[in-house]
Amino acid sequence: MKTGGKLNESNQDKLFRIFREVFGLEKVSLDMTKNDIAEWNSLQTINLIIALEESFQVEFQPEEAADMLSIGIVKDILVEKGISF
Amino acid sequence: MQETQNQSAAVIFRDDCPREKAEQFNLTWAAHFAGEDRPISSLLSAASMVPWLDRPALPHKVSLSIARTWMVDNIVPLLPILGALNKLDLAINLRPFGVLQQEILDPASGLYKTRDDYLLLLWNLEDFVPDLHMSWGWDEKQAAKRVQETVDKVVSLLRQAVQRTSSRIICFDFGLDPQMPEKGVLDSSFIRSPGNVRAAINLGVRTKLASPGLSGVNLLNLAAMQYKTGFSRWTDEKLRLTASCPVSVHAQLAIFEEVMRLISLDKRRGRKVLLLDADDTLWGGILEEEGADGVQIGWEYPGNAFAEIQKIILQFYLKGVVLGVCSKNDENAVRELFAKHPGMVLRPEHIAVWAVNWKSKSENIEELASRLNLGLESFVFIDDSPREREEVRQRCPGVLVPDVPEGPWKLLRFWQSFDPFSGTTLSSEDQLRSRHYQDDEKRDYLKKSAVSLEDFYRDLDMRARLWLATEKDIPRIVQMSQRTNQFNATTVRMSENDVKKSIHSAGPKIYLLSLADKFGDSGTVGCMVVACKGRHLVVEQMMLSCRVLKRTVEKHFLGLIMKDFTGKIEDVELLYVPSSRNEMVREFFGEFGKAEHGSEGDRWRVPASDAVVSGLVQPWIN
Repeated sequence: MKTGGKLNESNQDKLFRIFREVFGLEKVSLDMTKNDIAEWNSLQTINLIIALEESFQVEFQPEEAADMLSIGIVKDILVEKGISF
Repeated sequence: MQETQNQSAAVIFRDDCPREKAEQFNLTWAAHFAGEDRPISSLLSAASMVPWLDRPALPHKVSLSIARTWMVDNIVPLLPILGALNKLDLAINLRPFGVLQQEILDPASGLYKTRDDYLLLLWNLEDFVPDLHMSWGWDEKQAAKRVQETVDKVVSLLRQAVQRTSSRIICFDFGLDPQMPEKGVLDSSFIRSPGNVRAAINLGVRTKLASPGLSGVNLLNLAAMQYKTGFSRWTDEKLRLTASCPVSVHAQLAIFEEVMRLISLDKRRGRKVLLLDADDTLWGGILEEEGADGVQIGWEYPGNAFAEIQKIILQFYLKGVVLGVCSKNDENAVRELFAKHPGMVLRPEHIAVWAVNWKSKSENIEELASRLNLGLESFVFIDDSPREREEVRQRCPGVLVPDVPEGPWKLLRFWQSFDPFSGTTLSSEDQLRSRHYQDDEKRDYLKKSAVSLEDFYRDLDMRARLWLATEKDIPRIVQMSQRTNQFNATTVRMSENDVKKSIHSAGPKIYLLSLADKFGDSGTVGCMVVACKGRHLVVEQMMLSCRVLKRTVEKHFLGLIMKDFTGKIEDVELLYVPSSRNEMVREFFGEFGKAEHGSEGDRWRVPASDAVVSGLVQPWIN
């Protein structure tokens, strides 16, 4: 399992923290979609991907950005990259 | 080591800001300012702190327009934080992507209506020389000509901007090219290598900036920032190739931090007087104890470190900073050392005020302030003794008293990055003086005006093609529909199915436009969905890629469509539904007169006359 960032932080917590920080949200959940988050446009996706790459030590391909339509999907993509939740 | 970075970041937030958030912020940014490597995402996430900024407490309200051929939208939410860290209450006006030259060249452009305090230009050399990679094939004459042409073009743009706006202009030269570095050791010795052509253009622009009509332009040195950031961190090919941002997020941050520092120094008016302790500040050792022969200043360590420090201080003097010596010493002995010691760089004529005596330093500074008729905010005090620094901080609030490191080579490092005086050298006096020249020059200039907007369009060598969408266009139409925000008249998002239906039905038709120019082929850049209702043609959707904005392509597109329907229609109805980002469509449609307002949006009616059509079809687009 790849880890990084704060001690004792589960990968799910880490994922949620990233979404809160990148988009300035109070509460997040896996079922939230791109349409639920006003700030989640293609340009802020850049910041999201940088945060995910740094925190989970993974690399995203440009094509994968288009698939990120909800927080749940982002989690699935991370699982595919070997991150355990 | 800039002045502002000594401030605690915490002061910029309101009391109701959650404490742990403010603490986390402080830790991250203090480490960043200390030069530690922090994850860039932890710095970017500070944008979420913007709601807690204590804006009224920030002393300088500043507005900044950003004209650009760079996509920097991802870092814009962070800019109020970068501003606040430099005591600026910042308002940002992000101009549309990719239309920098058009906006500057068009006297009526929106850029000139903003009247912001500052105007930042983010451009690339490739905007001016798209075929730079071909420079190996140029002969020397061609190379010289291309350099000259490019310099003239850039300088002409800057001149027009200076004349049409009251904003202070901030821009960068073109730095070094991290994408096309000199490959072999020999490359750099060829005058026609892309790197050398770039260097010649940088130098040419910088040299021209010395002419009077161009003061008020701050041309920053991009290479210095590339060097500091490191080339490997400066670039991000993924970002460049997918998001039209030529630099990495690290580099974006470095650039905007530099811009904020510049603005804050400009606003604050730099400090004017540099007061220097003597022993272990200007030379090594104690003059009183070791005598003039015993102190270390000159050619060998640690004397060479102090000599270099004095060279830095001498440059401040040459830029207009007033120097003073404030030392507990025997005045005659100190003056004699300045006059006679062969290793000294600073000489008595450089020192305007001597406060060499046994009084407390704060007493001396207060006396100097009243003698020079300056506020304590004008002074900077440098002393190696923490006790003396503390005494001055306590009793002379306002004086800048930075902590300095111990040890001569570390002290030199401090001086190399210390400059609280930049504001003095950027003073607005220079600007005022140049205004007189400017009026004369303006008349002269307007006669031989170098580049006009029309020249720019012609120079682009644009070629357009219009066709009715077919099956193979579906992916691009869906993509445009999902992504186009700025020039999108109704912002209807179409799915693949929607497009498919539309193509195969007898209903509304989808027209596409492609554009090629001297930079290459931009592919499909325009999409219009039109429905024929009797003798009316209703434009239900109109989209234009941000790559081709402000090039009169929208007019041409509409003109071509109307031409296609010649004889079949009486008029065209343009539909507009406002969104947060499509104001530019309203501006375009507004050229056709008044709109009818409806519950779903606005509607313009344009007669399909020959006169209208020939006004829309552009002579510079083939």
